This record gives sequence, C-alpha cells and structure tokens, in this order.
Amino acid sequence: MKFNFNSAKPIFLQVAEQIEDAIFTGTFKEGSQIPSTTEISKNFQINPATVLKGMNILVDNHLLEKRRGRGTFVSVGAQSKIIKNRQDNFYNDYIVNLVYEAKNLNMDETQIVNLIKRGYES
Amino acid sequence: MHLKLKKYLVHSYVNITFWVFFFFLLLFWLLPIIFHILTGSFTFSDIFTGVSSDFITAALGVSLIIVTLFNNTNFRFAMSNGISRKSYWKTRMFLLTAFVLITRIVSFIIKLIEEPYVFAGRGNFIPRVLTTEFSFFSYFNNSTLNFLMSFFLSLLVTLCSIYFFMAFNNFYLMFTKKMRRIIVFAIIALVIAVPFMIGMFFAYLEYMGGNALAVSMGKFILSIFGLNLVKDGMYFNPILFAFDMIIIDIFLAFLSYKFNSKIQVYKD
Amino acid sequence: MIEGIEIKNLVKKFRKDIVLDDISFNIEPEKIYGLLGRNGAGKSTLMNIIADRKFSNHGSVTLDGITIHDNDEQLSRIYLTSEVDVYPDRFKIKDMFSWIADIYKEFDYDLCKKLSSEFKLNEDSKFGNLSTGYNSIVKAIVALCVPADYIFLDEPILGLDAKNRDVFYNALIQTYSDRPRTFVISTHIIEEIANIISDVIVIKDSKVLINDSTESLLKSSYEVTGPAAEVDRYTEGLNIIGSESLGKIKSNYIFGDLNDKPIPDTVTISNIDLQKLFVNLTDRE
Repeated sequence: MKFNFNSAKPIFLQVAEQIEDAIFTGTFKEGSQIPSTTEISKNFQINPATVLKGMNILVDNHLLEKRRGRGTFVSVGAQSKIIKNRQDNFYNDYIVNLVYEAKNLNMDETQIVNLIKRGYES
Repeated sequence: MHLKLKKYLVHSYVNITFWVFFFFLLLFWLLPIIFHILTGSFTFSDIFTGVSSDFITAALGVSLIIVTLFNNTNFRFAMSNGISRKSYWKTRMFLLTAFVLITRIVSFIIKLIEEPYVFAGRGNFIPRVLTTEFSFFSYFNNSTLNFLMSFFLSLLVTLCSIYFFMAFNNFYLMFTKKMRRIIVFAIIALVIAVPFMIGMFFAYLEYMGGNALAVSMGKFILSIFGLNLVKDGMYFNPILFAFDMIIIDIFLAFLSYKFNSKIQVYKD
Repeated sequence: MIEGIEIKNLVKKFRKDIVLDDISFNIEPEKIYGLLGRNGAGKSTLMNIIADRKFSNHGSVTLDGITIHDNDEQLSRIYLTSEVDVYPDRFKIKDMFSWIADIYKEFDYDLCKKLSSEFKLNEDSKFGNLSTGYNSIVKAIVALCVPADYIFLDEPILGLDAKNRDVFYNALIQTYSDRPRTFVISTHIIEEIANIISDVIVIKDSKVLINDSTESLLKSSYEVTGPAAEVDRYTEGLNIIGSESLGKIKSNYIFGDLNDKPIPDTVTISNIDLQKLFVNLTDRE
C-alpha cells in the first residue's frame, strides 16, 4: 500500500481506494487477512476512525468481510468484482478525457484508433 | 477527604520532617561535637547533650511551619490529578491539625521522660507530676482538669499559628509570581508596622485621657482573652481564652478555605 | 443531556485585553481534536479553564451536564498536560509514576512501562533534571496512561526530536484504538498531526473560528489557480483565506462556498490539503 496523504482528497476515500488497489493487484489475496485498522493507522499516522470508515466502504461493497474476533478479510471474488466495476467505469474514467484531449489537439478518430492499436502491439 | 491524597501528603510531610531533623542534628549535635574536637574541649558527655526535648520540640515546630508554608508543589500535584480544591483543603486541614496534635503530645511526653524529677528547693527533688507541672494556671481546683485545660490551650494556640500560616500561604498562592514578591514585602512591612501602630494607638489614648485611659483600654483588651489584672497579680480565665482561640481558629480556617478556593495554577 | 464537555459563554480577560470572547462549543466523546491558533490566541488559557486550573471571568464548563468546578468525580475524568511543571523536582520518575498510579485506580501501569522503554526514558532520573524533550515525554506518557475520558495536551511535542515524535504519534494511535477516548491536542506542528485528528477547533481573535470535522472542512475549501487577473476576478466576493503567487500564476485559497460564476478555461479549482488549509486559517490578516 502506498498512501500519499498530502493530497486533498478525504483520507477515508484514499484508504478505501488504496486497499481496493491492493486487492486488485493481488497484494491482498482473496480469503487472506488484511492489516488491522490500528496497524494501518499507526503505519501512516492517520486517525483510526478514518481508516475504519474507509474499510467500511469496502465492506459495504462486499469486497471485505469482518470476522468477529479474527479481523478483516478479503472476500472471495473481490478481485473479479473490482475488475468488472472498473471495466464498467472505463469509459468515464479514461475515454471521455482521452477524446477531449484529442479533440483539443485536433486529432481525429482514426488517429486515436491507430494509437490504441500501437499500444496493444507493444 | 481524599484518601490517596492523604497518603501522598503524609509521605511529603514525613519527608520534610526527616530533613528538618537531619539539619537540626547537623547543626546542634554534629557540628558542636566537631567544633569541640577541633578545639580540644571534647568530652564524652558531648554526645548526649544537644538532643533534648527542646531540640525535638523545636524541630517538630520548624517542620510544621515548613510543611504549611511550602505547599505550592503539593497543591499543583493535586490539581493536575483530578483532585478538587475543596478536597485538597479538607485533607490538608485534617493532616495539619493532626500533625499539630501529635507535636504537642510528643512535646509533653518527651519533657516528662527527660526530666522525671524537678528541683523542689533545699536539695530536694520530687517526681515530676504531669498534672501539676504542666499546668500554667490553677483555675480549677482539680489538678487534672488544670492540666487538661493547659494542654488544650497550648493546642489551640499552636493551631492558631499554623492556621495563620496556612491562610497566609493560600493567600500568597492566589497571586502570580510577580505579585507574590510584592505581597511578601507588604507583609514584612506590616509585621514591622503593627507593634508601632499599637504603640501609636496607646500613645493616642494616653494623650486623650491620660494614663488611666490607656491602662483601662489595655486591661479591657486583656480581659477579652481571659486575663484579669488585679493589684498584686492576675487571674486567668482559661475558658474565656479557649473560647476566643476557638473563634480565631475557625475564622483563620475559614479564611484559608476561601483563599484556597481562589488559587489558580500559574505558569511560573 | 449532552454527553461531553459543554463550554458556554466563556469570557476571559487579562487586564484590558479580552483573551476569550464569549466562547461556546462542545467537545464530544471519543474524538481526536486538534486545537489550532496562533501563539497567544488563547488555546492554553482555554484548556486551563476547562481543566479548572484557571478561572474564567464569565461562563461555565460542564461535563455530561455537571459543572466540573470543585467536583472530584468530574475532575478525575479530565486531564491536562502542559508546560507547567506540577511534579516535585526531587521526585525520581519511577516514583512519580507510582504515585500517579496510586491516585488513579485504573492507571495503565503496563503501558507506562512500555512507553518508558520505547522513549528510552531513564526512570531513575529526577524530574527536575530532565531536558525539555524528556520533560515533555514524561508528561505525554502520563497523559496516555491515565484513565481520564478527556485528555488535553498543550503542545505535547515541545522539544521532541523526529523519532520521539513518531513514537508519540504511534502510542497515541494505539492507545486510542485500544481504549477510545477524547484527545484535544494543541500544537504548532500542524503537518504531522493533520491526519491524526478527526476534528478541528480553530481559535482566532479570541473566538472560535471553526469547530468542525476535518472531512467537512476539506469539502468546503478550494484552491483556485490560474493567471492572476482571472483568478482574482473569479474569486471576487468569496472568502479568500490566503494566496500564493509564482510569477503571473496565482493561487487563491477559498474557505466556504464557491459562486455560480462560470469557471474560465485557464483556471483550475481543486481542494486544498489540510496542512495548507490550517496554516491559512490561523494566519493573522
């Protein structure tokens, strides 16, 4: 996990995003236990309640599950859930800006498609 | 009253008393011995002189005064650990009163142990009887009552001075460090001025109504304290004196309570 | 009955100066507050009044509805540590700890020992002989181990080197996790503490300027950057709390609502990070 807490985004959101990223990349494997709120908050010197809030977002989205007395674990199927979610949001997250920027630079659709092809080949 | 605080304060008071005794021993026992050794006038009995009942009484008295006046740190300790001013005052009042009582009892007992016999004239020594020897007066016909009353009065008088110091200490602590220096000077000035002012008062009376007025005013004041002057001596009414002392003690205790409730913790 | 410390209409004057001007706010249970403000803003005075060490000229302080003044039970639930030395100089640290543990029934003695070794504190030294840093460390250790519910720390990291500050923050987070209670911390080193606190109280000009969670503060603060003229035009009428310039590029920091004006292409609006926000909020105009 890599937290950059000098950014201006609410910390609990950053916590949620970073944990989600770690699940996505496989750093936190499905079924395994993730660090406790105390560990994370001590490591990055942030408020434990904030960490908990971030974790709870992922719990609500069924990416994490809390087991009483044992800790918090990555849910089975979490990784595929994340991938599907990011695929669904791909257009808004990347395409819209890409097209906007391309239009600003007077690049047409064919040019963009060619660039994408080049990207896949390399 | 705060039990944990009591333990802490007792520890603090015992510690101070120990150091006072240490310095007294140093000053009045060890140093004279060393001096005698150096000047070659040392005798074996020197080891046993110096530590007398007066020594112990004085040491206890000094401890009591120091404990009463050097209170700032203990107060702060209490304030910072969840103890209210009221509880602190109650605990301290209880402990100081007990300390005074102990001091008086120890004084009396040691005197009795030290000098079990008293010179009765023409080479005779008679056993020192607690009841007759320590009575300052013979108001009652019963010597035991006289003794008890004497003891009680000495207790009240000592309490009066300790409560006075306590009130003064609490008054002093109400102010910041800067103001405290001014207050100390003011008190010293007052202490010097009071006898002078009393003298002026009587001089004025004498100016107004001659000797007779001054004397009768003097007699009147003394009579409030139970002391009646007659042609060839005086009568002392201990009950009246005790009554006055109790009122004064209560008043001083009340003052110390009021001042204590106004103390703030300053940076100094 | 509101749970927590209620401060109502607190007024404190020092000779002719008003230090605290009709201050009212609440301190809620189990939160970590940052108490911010410039030097001399009144933070220490405020904390001393809450802890009943100093008196206000007017106003009241209650805990769970009960006035704390002269109340042993309420007072034992509040703890203040500040630069004022309240322990005898001649005390050895270990004796000091055991006396404090004696007074508080549930003093966390184990944590105390653990922290002493983490801070490399020599418990045989006398309180009066400690350096500024270790004076702060001893006070911090006590503050983290007393069973009070509302702990006020007035500049707890005074004189602490970077490593010891780290130890302190970790200890604070750990003990807060283990036993949630309220901490109110006043400090000037805002950067390090900005992410540990969940709520902020800002004292400015003898008044409470802000009393809010860091989250909602972030939501209502913006950094407007772009060519100086455009930025100034756009931010006209808004609550500008500070600005920075680099050549012709200017950033104005806004606290509060934005307006409906259309945003020029050359101007970008983003959030301010907490540290910058605090610095600009507490800065005297």
